[in-house]
Amino acid sequence: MVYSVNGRILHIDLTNNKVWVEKYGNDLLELFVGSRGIQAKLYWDLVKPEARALSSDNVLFVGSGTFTGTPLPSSGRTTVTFKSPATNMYFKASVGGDFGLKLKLNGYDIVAVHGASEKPVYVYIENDYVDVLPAEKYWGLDVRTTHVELVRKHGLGVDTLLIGPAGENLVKYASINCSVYNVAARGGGGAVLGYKKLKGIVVGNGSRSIILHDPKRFYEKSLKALFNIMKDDALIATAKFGTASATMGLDRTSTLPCYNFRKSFWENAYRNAGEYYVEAGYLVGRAGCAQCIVSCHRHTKTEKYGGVDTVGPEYETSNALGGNIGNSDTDALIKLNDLANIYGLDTISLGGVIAWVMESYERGYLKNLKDELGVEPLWGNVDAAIKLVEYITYRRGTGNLLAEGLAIACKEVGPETCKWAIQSRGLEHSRVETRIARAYALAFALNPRGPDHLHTETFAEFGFTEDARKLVKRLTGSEENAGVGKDAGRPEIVAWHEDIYAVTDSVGLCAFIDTAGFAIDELMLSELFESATGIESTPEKIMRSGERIVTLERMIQVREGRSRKDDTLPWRLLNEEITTRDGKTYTLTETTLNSMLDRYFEIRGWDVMRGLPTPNKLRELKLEFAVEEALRRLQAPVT
Amino acid sequence: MPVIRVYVLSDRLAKLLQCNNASITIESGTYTINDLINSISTQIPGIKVVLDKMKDTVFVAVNGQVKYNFDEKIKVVDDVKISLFEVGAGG
Repeated sequence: MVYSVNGRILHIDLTNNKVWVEKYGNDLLELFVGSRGIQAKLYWDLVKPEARALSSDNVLFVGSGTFTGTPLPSSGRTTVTFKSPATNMYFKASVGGDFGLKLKLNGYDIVAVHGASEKPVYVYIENDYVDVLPAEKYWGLDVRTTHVELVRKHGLGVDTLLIGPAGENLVKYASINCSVYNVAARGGGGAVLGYKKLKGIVVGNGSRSIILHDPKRFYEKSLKALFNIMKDDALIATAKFGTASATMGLDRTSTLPCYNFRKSFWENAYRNAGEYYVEAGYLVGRAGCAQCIVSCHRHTKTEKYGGVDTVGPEYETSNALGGNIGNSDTDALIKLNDLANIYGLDTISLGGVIAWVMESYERGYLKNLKDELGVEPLWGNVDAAIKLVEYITYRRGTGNLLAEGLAIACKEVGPETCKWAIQSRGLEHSRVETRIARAYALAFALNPRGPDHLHTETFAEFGFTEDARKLVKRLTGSEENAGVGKDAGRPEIVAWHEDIYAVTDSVGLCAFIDTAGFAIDELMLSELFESATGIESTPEKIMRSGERIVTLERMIQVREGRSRKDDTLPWRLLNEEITTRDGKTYTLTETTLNSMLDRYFEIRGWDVMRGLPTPNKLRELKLEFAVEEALRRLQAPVT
Repeated sequence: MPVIRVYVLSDRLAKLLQCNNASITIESGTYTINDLINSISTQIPGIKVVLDKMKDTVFVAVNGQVKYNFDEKIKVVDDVKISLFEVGAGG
């Protein structure tokens, strides 16, 4: 008997049009906690290291968290796992909305999509009824229109996971959208579904209940979490101003990347800030994911650009398509965000590509774009940005190359342009200045996704709140280590965040609750897990599970060819200095990064030279199945 | 005469200042941000103490642009909108 989950994985083989259910028990749940951890194990078992991302050998997993569907606030997050066409490696994305909750109420924790269809299809799930249905009439439609059509067909109350035209056209940074505006943005999961000719998954009104092992204790802890959320200053600010409330804090600390990481602050930053969206009247409402009282999503409107009524922009989008491309026009930002939403594009990668185009054009490259677009792609030219979104989505002209992402596009346009292509391992860099925020630098270098925030968001590093400073003191021994521009204690900060993030994702909790705000700590996580599942837990045990997941993910990528040489950052960030608002200059050298990596691997108990989990560490974490691979890698020369 | 309209956007800050919004009329002319804050302090007495003690976490936006240098001079001809808020989280 399993509690808090269904213990059921739904497998769908699009090549052979077969569907089957696999059951799992507490042994898997105890080791891997829930969605992210279990999906990593499934990926190890089912996706061969040589499988290509855009092939029928890739398996895409989507699943809800262990706490999803319970009364615990902010526990509606869903994990999507696949081999990324951007990085050619294991990738997990996290997404909010209601899809995960509805999937779970239909009796499945995880859906595994195998193979590929010859014609466009979508999957409909309602309890034990699972069908693969034709989707020709939806192929080519944007996400919002498709969602409306499918709700019209299947009835109110259903929810969708969909791709837009960008996914259909195999854009390497195409997103997967849940409930239209909740986006598993990074890594090109949309292209994986596009290759599989799967427009999406519709979940009906499920009739399953979530059964808790000790409901009374779980409710008590959930109530405590609720009260903690309601009095957490960081979460109160996020509720009122959304995630873009981060903008000005980053601007003040000179960690706000603008003009393609050539500036770390910007005089017009406020036009990309959540507080400005409120002050200037763009905000017309708030929306939240399943079970969330923070409701950080923004419902925004503008009369310009023919009228836009949408959700967002989040912080990352606000900067990626704002200061990053010199855009202080908030109306245009809302328009760009909406286009990315409905076409199904990752705004971080999109903004990275557009900024690279603008800098390249300024430096004398891509001069054909003036005639092609009919406007010059100059900094802040929002008309050019809007056109580029269309060109990329539909792979028109130069858009066909830009749809491949920076790692490929820069080599094609000229190897020297790779110096300002802000990507590493195939993924465009998230929106924080890692030359100054050094915990982020280390986390981004190690991240299995690439240089990205939503895996190890080390927000506590900034020390904006008292809770954040206390955490830094607990992890590093001194509150003085809080604040940017410092190296001390960064490996300790990163390792702790990696572990708690792995647990947080796996139980379906929003990371803002325990790593940006601090409403739930390790003790409460373990108590919630124990009362929900009946599996004995302690703070040490739950964090050990996080370490197990992080280590397994590393081993998956080691098996796919990753080694320590890949633990790096974009060229500009390791070779050019950056100036702060106060006129100080910062340089992050490879030597500094390597020194932090050495310490990190020591903390982890991994082989320092190779960045490789040792056989002993794997046995200690009950990952014996990966020992053989580690032994093989240990015998290979260091690269 | 131009009106300086002040909006306190963050709830906690509004509690500290015991004020959500305020306005004051001033003569047209050139003022530093500090001058404007001094004028506002007649309506919001706690504002100078709060800005001093919480200078790293409170922001002052003047007509849609955040100002860090309170010695910066601005020409006041029309009404001025000042927004105050605290640093947020997000990501």
